[in-house]
Amino acid sequence: MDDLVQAVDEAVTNVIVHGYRGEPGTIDLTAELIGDDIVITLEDRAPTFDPTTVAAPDLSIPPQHRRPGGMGVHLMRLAVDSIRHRPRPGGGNILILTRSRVPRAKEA
Amino acid sequence: MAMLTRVERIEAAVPVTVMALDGELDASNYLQLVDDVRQLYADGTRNLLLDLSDLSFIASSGLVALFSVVKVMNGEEPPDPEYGWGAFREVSRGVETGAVQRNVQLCGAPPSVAEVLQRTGLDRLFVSHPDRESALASY
Repeated sequence: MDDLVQAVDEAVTNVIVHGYRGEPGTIDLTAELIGDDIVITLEDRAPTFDPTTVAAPDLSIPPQHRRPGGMGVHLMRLAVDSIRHRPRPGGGNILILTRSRVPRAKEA
Repeated sequence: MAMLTRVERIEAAVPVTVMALDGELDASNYLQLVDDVRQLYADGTRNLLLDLSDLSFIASSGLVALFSVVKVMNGEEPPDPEYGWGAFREVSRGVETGAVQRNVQLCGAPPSVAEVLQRTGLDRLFVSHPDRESALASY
């Protein structure tokens, strides 16, 4: 549950800060249980941005060439099992976060 | 989506300012935390202990705040929040050179918060104590 809160917080913050850039906007959130998967769908009307294209952090790349928000995407990736993105018809983004409700084996 | 801070000044072996964070540290309040610490530094605080016992959540913006707090307590300007991973690059460089700072220490981090610190490598920047008592005894 903590991980899902983290992933949704990071995703929504990215949309507010980098998508809507502080301007008013809407984000629709739905949560479904499909089998053992908790599926969170976020829809916005901000400019198209696919966070799944953000590269895993590479510390050899100069900071100025890294996309802002990369830390949030890094935490999102670790927090869920899958992240899918597609453009929203009519403009915006649909982001689907999936995480099994079966607890993960505790990492060593 | 709120966080309260409580500040106490404790006379340990050295004067320590203890700031307890209570609530959620996220994009809505992380800049306030940096400002609060800037004020503490201006007022003379040189040893800052952040008590995370009641911190229920930390977002990536909160991690930027923690890194910025270290910069402020070293008398430096914090990085631009947009700096993102650049901040962490500095952290890893500091860790590699053995330059773990002690001006800002942590105590009482709940497991969920500790895990976020660990996932981003930020844990290596801090001396962390299990609780406030052991932290204060270590000064």
